[in-house]
Amino acid sequence: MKTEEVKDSAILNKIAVVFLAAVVGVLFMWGAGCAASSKDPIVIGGVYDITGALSTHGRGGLMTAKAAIERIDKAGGIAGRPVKFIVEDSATDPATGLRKLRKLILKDKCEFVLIGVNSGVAVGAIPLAKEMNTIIFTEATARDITAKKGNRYVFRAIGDAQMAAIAMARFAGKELGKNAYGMGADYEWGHSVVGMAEDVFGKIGLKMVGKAFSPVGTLDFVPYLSKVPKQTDFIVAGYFTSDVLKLVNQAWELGLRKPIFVGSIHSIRYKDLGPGADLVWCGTYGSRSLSGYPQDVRAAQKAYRDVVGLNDEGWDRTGELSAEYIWAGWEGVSWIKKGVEDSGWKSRDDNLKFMKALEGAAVKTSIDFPTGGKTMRAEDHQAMTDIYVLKAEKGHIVTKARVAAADILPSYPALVDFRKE
Amino acid sequence: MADVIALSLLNAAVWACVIAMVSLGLTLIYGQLSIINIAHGAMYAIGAVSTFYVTTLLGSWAYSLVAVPLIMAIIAIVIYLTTLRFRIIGYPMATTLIISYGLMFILEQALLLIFGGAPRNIPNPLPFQVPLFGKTTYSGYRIFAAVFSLAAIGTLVAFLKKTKLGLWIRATSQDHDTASAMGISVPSVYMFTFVLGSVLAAVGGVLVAPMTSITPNMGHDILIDAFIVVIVGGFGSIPGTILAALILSLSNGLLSVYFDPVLAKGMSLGVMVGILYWRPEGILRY
Repeated sequence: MKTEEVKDSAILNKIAVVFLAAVVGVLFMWGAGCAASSKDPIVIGGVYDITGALSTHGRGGLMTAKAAIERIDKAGGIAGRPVKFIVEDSATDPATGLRKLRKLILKDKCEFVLIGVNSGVAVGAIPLAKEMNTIIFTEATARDITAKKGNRYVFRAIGDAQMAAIAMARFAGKELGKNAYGMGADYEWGHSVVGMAEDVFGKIGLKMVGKAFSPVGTLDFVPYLSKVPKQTDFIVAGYFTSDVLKLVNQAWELGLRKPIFVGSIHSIRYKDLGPGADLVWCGTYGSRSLSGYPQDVRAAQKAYRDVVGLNDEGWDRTGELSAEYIWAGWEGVSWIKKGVEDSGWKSRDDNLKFMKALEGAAVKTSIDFPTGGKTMRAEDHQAMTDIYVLKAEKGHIVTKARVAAADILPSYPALVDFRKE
Repeated sequence: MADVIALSLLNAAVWACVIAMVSLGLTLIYGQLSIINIAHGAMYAIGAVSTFYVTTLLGSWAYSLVAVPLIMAIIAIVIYLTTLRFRIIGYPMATTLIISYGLMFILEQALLLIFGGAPRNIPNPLPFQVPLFGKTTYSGYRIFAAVFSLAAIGTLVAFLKKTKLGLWIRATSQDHDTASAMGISVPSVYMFTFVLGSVLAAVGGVLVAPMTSITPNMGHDILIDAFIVVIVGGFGSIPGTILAALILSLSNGLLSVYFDPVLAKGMSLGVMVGILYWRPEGILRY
């Protein structure tokens, strides 16, 4: 061979070696990536109010979410991948909740995050979810979460304040009267309850004769109750837990004998409502008692209650957490599982596929969805759930009626279309 | 409108009495021990939670008026002996502030562990309403709570002025070295004062428990008002504390007639700021 031919041959050999090495490297990394996706756990984060004023809501949602994840993990995980659940306490403080959310996503690498009932945390989390390309499922029920403040990264597994108001309005007009007075906790959810009620009432001929908002944890409601106009037939109260107890008892002591439609009756016992108990109504997202569910849902509901430790009356083993609301944690996890498996989701890069898989998805009653079949509305990622009207009556919190999602839908149009994002 | 004004002022007066009593505990502890007791709200919560258990176990709220002060006294003695007594004389106030802040967390979390997070109520022990005007009534129990608070305040003042132990407390706060030289057991006086102040907070919890719902963190509801009252009244001044409690509550009550109650609260705090601007040392100097 001539010298130039030898040199050309050596260069070609080097090029070939480099090319082959590159191909092998790419194949190796691709294979390693596939192997990592199939074995690495799916990391789900949870931001719940474990302490603070909303602790009973937070601990309830966390209890069912954790039970759902443990059950799914024992059965082989999600799409064959184990599930890791990392929880942080938002302490009923939005600033704390958002700090913990960042930590879950940035440090713990959570790929999905469940957000509890705190609407302040949820609303703050919405832009962060988009910024950090992380899908969140929330139990918070402020209307704007799946409306003007929401985005495509947010899903809600439970009904919202407007759905509850629509259900409430049907009873209020028939049973309670025409004139309502709105009172609420002075934050996102409290305003949502009163605002939605006012909006819905106006459309059916009822009237909100006035409204007042008080800080969460108000000690004394007398200054507010003293201003309830005489023509008021019933009070719409966007309060939860201890504020409900204070309001109901103090209203009675002040001589107010008007029905009070509260936004949440979670973990409240009949006897703690005091002598005014039988005036209390609530539009909420599930029945406390098993018997309050329709016949075709009861078997699934019973199976779910057995797993999480709720009895037929609707109390957990500690006797502290009640059933009507906390199923949202369980079903939030079920929606994640469905989205991952239906879309073939492997990582955050597949978030859009996940979203599309759930948009418009319908599920049937099962242990995964023990409150009944439902649809995840495509436009606003709102699960269309039934609303239950509860009433404190003669020693118990009874289910007076169920308003089906289909009946609520005509009055509850989607206000946004996240699919356009 | 006259009925709303009357109702608001009556309600404000009731809360003034209760806040004054709770705040007196705080001012007593500061005045005698120079401790700013951030855990005072937690002691109020302990009072309310203990009331729940005593009422539930013994069947009557009335037993709480005896049992809860005893329970709180024991807790306060333990707290004093294990923490505060080592960090009073000669130590910067910041040290006791940090200690009491830590105590607040420990006590609140202990309450959360024992009581749980769900709010509870106890039945109104005096379920009669006092008719005011028209169909408006006012809770007879609240009036009782105000009268009891006033009686407790009166008893405290009489105790400090008329008894030997009260004299020792006053002497120790004025000059603990001279008091010690005169044969007064200063450490015992300090401990007694801390216990007395804590018991006043707990009694506040006993009285408020039937008026509101009981939660482990309910001490936060009253702590800020208590501090405002103590500062504006003049740290360590008992008459000043009572006067400040009246001004805060009554201004809040009157303003809430004409304005949104949240705005009224802000405005009443503005009144307090104005007083401090006029007299930075407090209304009645100690």
